[in-house]
Amino acid sequence: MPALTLIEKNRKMQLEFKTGTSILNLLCAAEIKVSSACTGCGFCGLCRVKILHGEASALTAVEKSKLSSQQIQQGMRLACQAKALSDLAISIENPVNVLKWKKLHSVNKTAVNSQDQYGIAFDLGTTHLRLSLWNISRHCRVLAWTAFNPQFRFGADVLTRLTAAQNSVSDALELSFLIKQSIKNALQLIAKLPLSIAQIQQLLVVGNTPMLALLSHKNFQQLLDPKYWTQAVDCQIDDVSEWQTFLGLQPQTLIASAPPLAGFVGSDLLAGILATGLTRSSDCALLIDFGTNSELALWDGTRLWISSVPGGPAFEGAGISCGIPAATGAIYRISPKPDNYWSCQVIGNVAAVGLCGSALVDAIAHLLANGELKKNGRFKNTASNEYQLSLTPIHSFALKKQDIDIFQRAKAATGAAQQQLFKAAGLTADKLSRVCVCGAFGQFLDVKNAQLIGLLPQIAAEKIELYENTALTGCELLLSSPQAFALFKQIKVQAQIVNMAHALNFDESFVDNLYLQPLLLEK
Amino acid sequence: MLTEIITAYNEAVFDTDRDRALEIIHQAVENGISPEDIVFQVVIPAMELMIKSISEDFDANLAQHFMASQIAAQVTDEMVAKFQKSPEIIGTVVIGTSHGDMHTLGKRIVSGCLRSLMIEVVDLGVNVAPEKFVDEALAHNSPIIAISSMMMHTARSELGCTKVREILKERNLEDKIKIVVGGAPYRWDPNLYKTVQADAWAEDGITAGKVIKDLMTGMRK
Repeated sequence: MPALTLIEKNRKMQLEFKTGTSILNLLCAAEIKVSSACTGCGFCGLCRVKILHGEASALTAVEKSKLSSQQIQQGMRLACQAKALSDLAISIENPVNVLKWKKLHSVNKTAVNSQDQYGIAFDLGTTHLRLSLWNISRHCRVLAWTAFNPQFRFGADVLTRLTAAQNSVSDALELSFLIKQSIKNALQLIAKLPLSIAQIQQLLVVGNTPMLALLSHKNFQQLLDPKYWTQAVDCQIDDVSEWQTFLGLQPQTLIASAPPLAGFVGSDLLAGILATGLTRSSDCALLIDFGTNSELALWDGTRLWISSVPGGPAFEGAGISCGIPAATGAIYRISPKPDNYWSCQVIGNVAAVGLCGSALVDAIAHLLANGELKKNGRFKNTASNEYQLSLTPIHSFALKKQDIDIFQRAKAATGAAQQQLFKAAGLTADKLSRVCVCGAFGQFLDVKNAQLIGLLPQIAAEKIELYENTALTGCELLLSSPQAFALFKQIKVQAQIVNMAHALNFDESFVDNLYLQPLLLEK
Repeated sequence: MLTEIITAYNEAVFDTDRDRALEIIHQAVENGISPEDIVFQVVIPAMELMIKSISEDFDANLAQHFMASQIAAQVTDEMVAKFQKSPEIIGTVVIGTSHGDMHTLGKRIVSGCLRSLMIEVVDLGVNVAPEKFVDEALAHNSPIIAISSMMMHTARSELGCTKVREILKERNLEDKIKIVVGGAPYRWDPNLYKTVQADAWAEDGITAGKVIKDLMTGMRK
């Protein structure tokens, strides 16, 4: 039988195969995780592999549209489209290290001892997991970790995961188990610290409602039905003792999810509102958590207008030919130099692998400002379908027409949602005294560039605050203080849910916001 | 003069410049071009041209498609209101998004195209129950049920097209009513319409108009 050789940094692996199956299927069968967000229909373009030697099937039409001419020249293929025909050696462009927790900072040694009480805060995001060990006695963090959500291989967005869970009992169990296993791995890291597991009083989870439902293995079917989007959905963890045993926690350790407000308003958003203190004064404030589903909360001084809008995974770098999530190797800032090359900043100070969402914003804003791109999303040179962002004469990333298009749609969804929220609250942008931007995408944003293309309201830059982990911070507050819990409950009472699906003229507002231009917020 | 208007309007649509497009049309009406000529000679051919130019790489041009369709819908609505006599209607279609699907945009574009092709459209809204599709088709004497799904799970849903087919079968209506589907998942998988037991699918508004016209003519024979 012919063999597929997978060449990675530190290892080489051989898989024997029968011809006729896609490379992605071969890798999946061997339990090798590859980024993929569309269950292998070629739509997301994430499962790129490089053919090092050997023969694969001819390029498909989908690949021609998803890969740049440069990528094709380099021997790049989509693993879901390409079939191995003979002995083949490949490398994976976006490997997924599913169970690898990375420290967010160094350990706060003064907060570790054998007497204090601890809690575990867990932010269960669609793309990222964040977990921290919180010293309840001293109200401070010991250590926090982040990892990619291993459910990624069931799809990048919540709907594909919910559908997978609905269609297959074993997939539903697997989706829940993957997260439990991740928590267990984090606990093993915690066990290495000089404290006892018996000191952990509580494990508290915040997350969007679908994620919490999949975790508790409960009511996830409801979330595919629009009538539950604005209703409360029970996703409390029932089998606590089973969890305690599995995780190796004490029988007295509390394990719970902070309850979400409705199908599309998760407890992660509520925790973010808590962490940013959005409702603490009578000043108007807006919170936006950009993501595959972007969540928005507008505080008018007495009421909280909340909504959620799906824009696709473009902000997370998925579906973009040169895009990757905001992690090591991602360009997060990019700007043109006078010599026509681009200078960039890379997360982790390593060689650039691709652009994450914030760099995409920079590139689009600069191309728009220098006239290379028109505000409708077409390149000035209409014959061209891509623009080369050259870092050096030999290192460049191609920004394709379709990348801009996908981004325009994500941006238009959040722009239209902001307009609808302001309309519902009867506010205009000039009343805003704060804008809190959250999420992996938000934390690296260049505010001016984001305003230029209509992502954020046109208000003074110093009123715009960028946050990294608001959901985790909010979760920690909930662990340590009864006041925080009371405020959390109050936020739920003050909230008015605005369902964009029923918003008048949302579609028109969406189309208006496809144009790359500053955002207009009127009553 | 019409040729010049067509050229100028096409350019404006290609640039998705709504203000310029409307200006050109308003000027044309002032210069005595009939609203009928504007719809049939200018707007529809421009839409066809636009769709042809983007169809090779449809997903790369969705934003353009939405923007251009909005212009076409706006001009058509304005012109149809000015038609000398009410235009001859070819037939009626009931349209809606499938159960669980709240995406209205695709449906709106298709409705706009159908109306400009003189097909009457009864919009059932979003998240439409399968029974409602059939009941409304009967109530409006419509030979076509058009179902829009923007997500794979709503396209394949047991309460979507498959269920509509089941009801048509049960009530012995399959000769009288045909199902046409559309939306992103059908472009990803061109055989999906067969899986969900639709009679036909269309990848854009103009094609939908043609497919529906053909089905209607076929059924009258």
